[in-house]
Amino acid sequence: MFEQIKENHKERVTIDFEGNLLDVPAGITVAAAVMGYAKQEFIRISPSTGDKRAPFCFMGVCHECLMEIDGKTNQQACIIEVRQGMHIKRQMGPVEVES
Amino acid sequence: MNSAISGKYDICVVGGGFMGSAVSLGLIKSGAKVLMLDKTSRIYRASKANFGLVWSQSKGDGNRTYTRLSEKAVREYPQFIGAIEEESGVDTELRLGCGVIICLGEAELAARAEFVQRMARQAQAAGEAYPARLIDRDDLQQITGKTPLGTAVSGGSFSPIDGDVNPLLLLKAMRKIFIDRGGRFLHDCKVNDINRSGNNYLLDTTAGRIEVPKIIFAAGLGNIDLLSSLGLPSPIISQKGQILVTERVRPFLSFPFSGLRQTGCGSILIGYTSEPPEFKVRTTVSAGASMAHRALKILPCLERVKVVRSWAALRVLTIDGAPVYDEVAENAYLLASHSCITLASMHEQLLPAWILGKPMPEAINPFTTGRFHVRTNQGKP
Repeated sequence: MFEQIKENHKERVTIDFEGNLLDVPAGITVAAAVMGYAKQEFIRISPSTGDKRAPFCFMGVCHECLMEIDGKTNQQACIIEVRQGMHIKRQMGPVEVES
Repeated sequence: MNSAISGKYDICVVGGGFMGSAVSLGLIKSGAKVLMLDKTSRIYRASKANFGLVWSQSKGDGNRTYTRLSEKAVREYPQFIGAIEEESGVDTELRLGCGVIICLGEAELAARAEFVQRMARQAQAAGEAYPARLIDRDDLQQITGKTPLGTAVSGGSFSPIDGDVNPLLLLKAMRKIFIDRGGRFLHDCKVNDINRSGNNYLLDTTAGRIEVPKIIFAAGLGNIDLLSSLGLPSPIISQKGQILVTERVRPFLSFPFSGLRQTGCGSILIGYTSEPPEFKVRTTVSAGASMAHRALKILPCLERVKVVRSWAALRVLTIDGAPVYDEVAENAYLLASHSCITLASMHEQLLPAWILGKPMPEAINPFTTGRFHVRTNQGKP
């Protein structure tokens, strides 16, 4: 799992990952927060194969990092910065058309 | 001369899309030695860019033989796919038994009603029955299930035999069986020129020169250039179509609408346009917007679903919209249709025996190029 090499961030924010409050550096991406601080080995279950998946490209291309952020499904966690009070959830399978 | 290939095959099928793959599959099952070439076009790709409908209800208005062929093709699809899935181990996501053309507003419904009546009359005149019927909004809501239809939906036509399939998986399955049974498939192989060499055809290709006694033109729009290299006229024209594709969502549509369907992996395909062809096949914002707008009128819940990509491709049409099957020169066959997904079952079943020398089956003999010839006062081309 990811390790923070140097904790030199002065500014920090608190995010809610599936009910757990996490204190993370401001300015990092949601994907980095989930992998590095929530210590998850997967961040979604593929709607088509049922496999556990995790962020792969970290640059907005592969769409492996789709998460529910502040109630919106299929958000690209690797290109969205954490914000104070953000709610983040993993997507366990396909999202519903009618939520 | 490519000595690894030349002289080893009875038949060369030029084109490895839906037409080429279905006929090659039938030929290899009949025991022929078949070489299939595909130039892997990045522009046309009708076999990969299509919507995946297995569809008869809208085919052949005014051309009963074409309607009959389409209906027979759909009715024989389960058997065709059953054999393919068993042999290839590929699940093609086939769903048959419900296909709906949806209407928005009263004018569309009235036009659809007229079409259904006309098709029913044409069937009746031939002593047959047209399987589709008009349904109202309430019936349509009932078969759609709990997902609410938009208020503009006025009804539609329902076919109890139509449906859909995953064209990418079916194409893969057909090619796999073809190769497993000893067929040779060369992709990225373009035919540059064709000449006669004695009783054989000599193909100048990017994989070398290939000599073969029989040749099949199954190259879609590529047929135009192939025919011209033999000095033959082409009845093929093209039309552009665009499709929108959404993110994957939990399956909620158990059957296809004509321009809106959910694939096995949860994506929703929204389509499709019919536009004049262009050399550079592009998607356009205006077409995307109008397709999305219509889809939202059909299923307002799609408002929350994101479009993740769109694509455009060129359809393979003929002058009268019906397929072409013909021996256009000695031992040279032209096969072309814009409906190669639906007709795949017929192409695999009916074309090979004829190409291998049997008389043309009655179901396909009205589809030669003779129908395009200008008639003289002797009634001869």
